[in-house]
Amino acid sequence: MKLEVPEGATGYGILFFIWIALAALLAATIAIALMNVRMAVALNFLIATSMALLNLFYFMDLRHEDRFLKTIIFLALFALTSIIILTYSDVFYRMAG
Amino acid sequence: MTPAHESAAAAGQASYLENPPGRRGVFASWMLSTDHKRIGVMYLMALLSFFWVGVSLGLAMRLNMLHPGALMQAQTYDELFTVHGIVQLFLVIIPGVPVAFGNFFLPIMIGARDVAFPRLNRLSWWVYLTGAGIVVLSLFISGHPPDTGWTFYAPYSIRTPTNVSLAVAGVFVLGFSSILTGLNFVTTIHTMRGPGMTWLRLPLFVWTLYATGWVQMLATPVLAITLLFIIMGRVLGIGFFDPSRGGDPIMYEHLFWTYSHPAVYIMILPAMGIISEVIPTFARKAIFGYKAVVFASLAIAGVGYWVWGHHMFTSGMSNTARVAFSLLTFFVAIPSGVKVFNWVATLYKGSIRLDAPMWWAVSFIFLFSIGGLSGLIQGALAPNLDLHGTYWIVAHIHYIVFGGVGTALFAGLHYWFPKMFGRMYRERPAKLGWLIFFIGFNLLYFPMFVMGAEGMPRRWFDYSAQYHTGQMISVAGSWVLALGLLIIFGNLILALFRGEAAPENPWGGTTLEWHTPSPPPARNFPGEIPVIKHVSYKAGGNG
Amino acid sequence: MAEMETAAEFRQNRMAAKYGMWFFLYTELLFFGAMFLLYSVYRYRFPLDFHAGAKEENLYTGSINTLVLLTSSMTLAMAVSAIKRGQQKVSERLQMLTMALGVVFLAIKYYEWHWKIAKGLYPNSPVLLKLPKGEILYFGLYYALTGLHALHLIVGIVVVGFMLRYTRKGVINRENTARLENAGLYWHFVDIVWIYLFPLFYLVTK
Repeated sequence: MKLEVPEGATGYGILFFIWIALAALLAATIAIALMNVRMAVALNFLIATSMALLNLFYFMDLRHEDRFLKTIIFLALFALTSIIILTYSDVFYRMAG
Repeated sequence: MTPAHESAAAAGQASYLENPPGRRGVFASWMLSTDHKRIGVMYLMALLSFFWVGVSLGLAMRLNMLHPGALMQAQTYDELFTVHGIVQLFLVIIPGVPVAFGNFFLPIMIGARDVAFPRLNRLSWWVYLTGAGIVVLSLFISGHPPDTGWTFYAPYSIRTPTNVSLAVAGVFVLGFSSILTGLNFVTTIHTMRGPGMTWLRLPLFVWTLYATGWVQMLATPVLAITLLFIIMGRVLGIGFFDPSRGGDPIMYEHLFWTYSHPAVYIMILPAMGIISEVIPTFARKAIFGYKAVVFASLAIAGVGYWVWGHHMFTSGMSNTARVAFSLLTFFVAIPSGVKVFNWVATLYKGSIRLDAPMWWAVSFIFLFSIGGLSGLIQGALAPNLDLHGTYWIVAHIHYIVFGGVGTALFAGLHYWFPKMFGRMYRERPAKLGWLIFFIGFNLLYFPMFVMGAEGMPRRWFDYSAQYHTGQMISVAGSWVLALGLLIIFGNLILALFRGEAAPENPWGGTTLEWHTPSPPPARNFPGEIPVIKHVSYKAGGNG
Repeated sequence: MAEMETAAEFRQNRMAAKYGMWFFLYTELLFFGAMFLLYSVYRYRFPLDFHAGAKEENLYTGSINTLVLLTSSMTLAMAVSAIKRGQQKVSERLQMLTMALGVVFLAIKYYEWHWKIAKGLYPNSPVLLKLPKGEILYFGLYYALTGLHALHLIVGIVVVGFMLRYTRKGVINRENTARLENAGLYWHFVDIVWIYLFPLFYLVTK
């Protein structure tokens, strides 16, 4: 309890470093969009997801949570994904009216 | 209050029904209470009141069929079936079992003093009242009550001049209450289990509340946003579901049923939980296949996510989706079947006592099976195209929701009434009420299967001569059913005031709520919380 | 014995608060997820209209706003770190800074809306209704999604405001950080939603 940085308190340096990483990713995603790269949309989303993960694991401190909370996040994502896939089973194959 | 009384109250020994010492009046003391038992009882009272509103509307609809046009116009009929649906589904049966019995018994059954967030629980109750109030307001405020059907299908729901915005807003608010309750229960089960209460020792009712909680959390937000878009469509002209503005009404149906099909499991899972409590108690036997029932609950909650499209076979969605959803629909029947087999297997060679709760439980199995099997017929794509627009669907939904969830609610009511209020009801009128209800129910709804198969369209306020006999049987059935309900409620209300004092464990139940006085003290258990040593169904009980 | 029980209860309550907050975020995930689904379906149907509609977005303000929100997430995470080290004053300042950044974001958002509304581009407007259907949907989605996001941010600012009060009063302190952590979780979640909204509306055409 009497440690300099108590257990669970992320150091300011780490948080600042994450911010730098996030800002760099933001710059990258804008650059990709501006430079007309192929598959730009996919790359944009890949970058957005990595930004979200940095946020989750460092700012939201998911890396210090118990295994249940880490696992269960997939349940929510799985629910959302299944909704999206099943909706697209209609949207992709709908006959033009 | 006598001094002895006061010290008992101070020690948390006094019944939760007694007002704690203080300056608050009785009404304020209940409304401001964070005691999960009081909140459960208030929910129960509100639910049963709204239930009667819904019943009256239903009776009026049936009455119309005696001589269509004599009693009301078509517009009134549309409003009636809409409001009947909204009230019975969103105000009564979706919150239903979890908010009333879940609130009261979940903490006791897991050996806790309260839920994880008592103040949030109270907030859910207030939010529920607010939502219900808004829905009721939509009936009486200037203009007409909504006439869209309880599903609020776009684009009609965006264009109709009736009070759809208000009703939808009410349902939106009710959704919040539902989410908060689910969140509270799941957290409670994770963090508040009493000494020795491991996961696989939990009573089955608790397991169903757990599965339900997840569905509430992960499905209700989809409804919330969808309803919000309906309101935005009406008020701001955002045309997400309006074809004239590029929107797709079928997307509304997707999003609506993404919630509203899992909502069926929000209703039925806790109902199955009640049955899983009642049957072992009255068969004097541990439940057959405890783990199978647990996993069946979780499987129903999971697979229930992937079947919503079977409500939309005639909506114009793609053939690929229709086939996929039809196939998935068959999968969800498997865990439901597992449960039915387990209940019946529990009865096998049991020492069965047929008290009132047990009659309700066995009739649940019967009616739910009819509802479930008819669901398989309409879940198959080809027959569905014929049956979808007919009375068949009306019969099916009532066998599941009323015959299933409704009877389970009454099973729970008769099972736990002595515990909740500390009074016994009279057994003979309870059984008589059940019998009349059961006869009336089948008279009312079974002819609808027949008429539906013959092509009687649902939501029509008139019918051709060939359906006359069926309609008449059904109308008569509605009166028999109402008589049964009157006897049941009369008996219970009488017991509330005049019933004999209930013993701690009138039925020989084994779960924790039977190890505390009836009614329970404010802190749930008079002394220390009993330590659990084995799974919750064993002769001699736990503790 | 009594002390041990309170310690156990404290841990139990702390765990409950954590779980409850994460569960709440899952519901939020589905809430926004359904909106994203609707967006993706309509974009799939009207790719060209969405392209045309997105020409109205200002990449500069959008990017600056993203950076503002990312920074606010960092300051709030630092505020949590500070209180865990017992640096109450530092934590208070960082919380104030977070709120200020939230307000900056809203101000920029206000101007973005303002420019569009000045052009007559708002739901149900005569200008908008003359546009192709896909563009009507695009702007509808723009207002609905950024609007609901902004609403969440306003709630976030109010919540952090309460946390500031609690921190000043000492209710939130070195041993008792759950509330501030939960406020942080909510704030970061709203940030993540924006991280996805940004490419959806600002990077479609470029």
